[in-house]
Amino acid sequence: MTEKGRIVKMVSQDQEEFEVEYGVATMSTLIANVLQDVSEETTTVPIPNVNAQVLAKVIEYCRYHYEAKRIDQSEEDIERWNKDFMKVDNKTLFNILIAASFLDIADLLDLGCKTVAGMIKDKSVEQIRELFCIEGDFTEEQEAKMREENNWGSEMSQENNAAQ
Amino acid sequence: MDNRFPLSMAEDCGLDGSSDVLDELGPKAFGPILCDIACGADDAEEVGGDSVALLEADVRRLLDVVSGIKDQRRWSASFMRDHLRTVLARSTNLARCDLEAGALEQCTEGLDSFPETVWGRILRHLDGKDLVTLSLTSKTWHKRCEDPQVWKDLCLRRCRSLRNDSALWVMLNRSSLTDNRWRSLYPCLVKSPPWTFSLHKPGKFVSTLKAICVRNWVVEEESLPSSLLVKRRFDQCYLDKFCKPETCTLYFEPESENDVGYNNFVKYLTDRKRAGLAHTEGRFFVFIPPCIQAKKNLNYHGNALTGLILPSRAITLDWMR
Repeated sequence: MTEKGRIVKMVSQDQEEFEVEYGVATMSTLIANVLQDVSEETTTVPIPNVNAQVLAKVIEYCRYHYEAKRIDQSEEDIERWNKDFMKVDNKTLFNILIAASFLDIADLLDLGCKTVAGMIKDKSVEQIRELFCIEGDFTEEQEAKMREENNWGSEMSQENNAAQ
Repeated sequence: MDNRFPLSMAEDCGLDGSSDVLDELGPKAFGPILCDIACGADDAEEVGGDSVALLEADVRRLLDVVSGIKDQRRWSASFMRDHLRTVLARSTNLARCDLEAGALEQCTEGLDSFPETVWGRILRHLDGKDLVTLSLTSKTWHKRCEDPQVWKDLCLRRCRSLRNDSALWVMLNRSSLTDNRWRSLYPCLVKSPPWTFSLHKPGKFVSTLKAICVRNWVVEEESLPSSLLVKRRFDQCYLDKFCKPETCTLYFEPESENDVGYNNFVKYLTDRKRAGLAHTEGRFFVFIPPCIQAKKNLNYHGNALTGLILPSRAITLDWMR
């Protein structure tokens, strides 16, 4: 299978087509596997549950990291780029995460998970509820009891941050 | 049957058995049906957006199409199945678009629609305090955050030896451990701050050690030394003197596994029946190899290095010659 110069067409849920270099597309383990299974003439891969907006972001990620590897980009630059890349609204972030999980792009999935975890860190119960639109369904007694049981959690915040 | 036709509701409506009939059908004369399906879907749009009514309309249409085919008996089942699927995919697609459009900051949709593996990964980036906070937000999150695996990872990050040193578990003496052992152990592990330091003998680096407080933590995080020099050694029999119930007791593990410097240090002390002593800022740090005193006083029966932290006044050095 010649990989150089090979172009893969990814088709989003809303039927938008993205033409991507083979090396970029196969950063997705799912696509790499699919392309291995089908004949060489096949170049179109439908991505039925990722919309164009999100797929474009995902491809942007793959393309950058594909290039970064080729030109030996410094760790700091990559990290800075990743950080900027994650500066999106919650909804987009979550959709990228779901897409990364579906397409099996481990690094992107990990980056997204770290970002979401970062949003949770050092927040109060109320803040997290608001952030993720979680509806509290404990009774007041249940909640008070659990807070009581877990009051070790508030005492050790600093030390644990140091551990991370 | 499942993989052929993914909509359970359609199966309920009697589509399930249809393929037996359809198997005998040929691929011809498909035009009218395609047209049927296309028109049908357009009609459905008038019903509007993603609704049960729309779905119902779709399913009815499918049933109509299928019953129409029974007379034709000319198409292959697989061909039919693909086209029925197309109709449903379109319906699903509509539903998704609707969701997208109507989603005014639909964060919950996102977070809760994550596959299990995704939020499992998110939890792995949180520490115990944040897990607890998150677990208090709702019952669903409580259940997720109580996952023993998450707490196990957390504990092992703090102390790798918990994986294979059963004597350490005994030493921790957590009779109060609940069924969720790692979860209930974690608070004990974080009573002391994480502390890594380099251990030296005079003129020689020994190893980088991680200390875990087993009980009675005493030192402020700011005054934890980043290196310790073991200048003196003393006979293990003296350990009985200062191993009190209230003494700060430590467990050491080398930062990297199979650390030769660490192994040699433990062997060196063991062979000479000695304990090591370092002194800094008003405190003594005692290093104890596996020995009878460690068993007796610290309840540690394993092969690792344990230790004590004592205030300077607790030891007078005159007996140590």
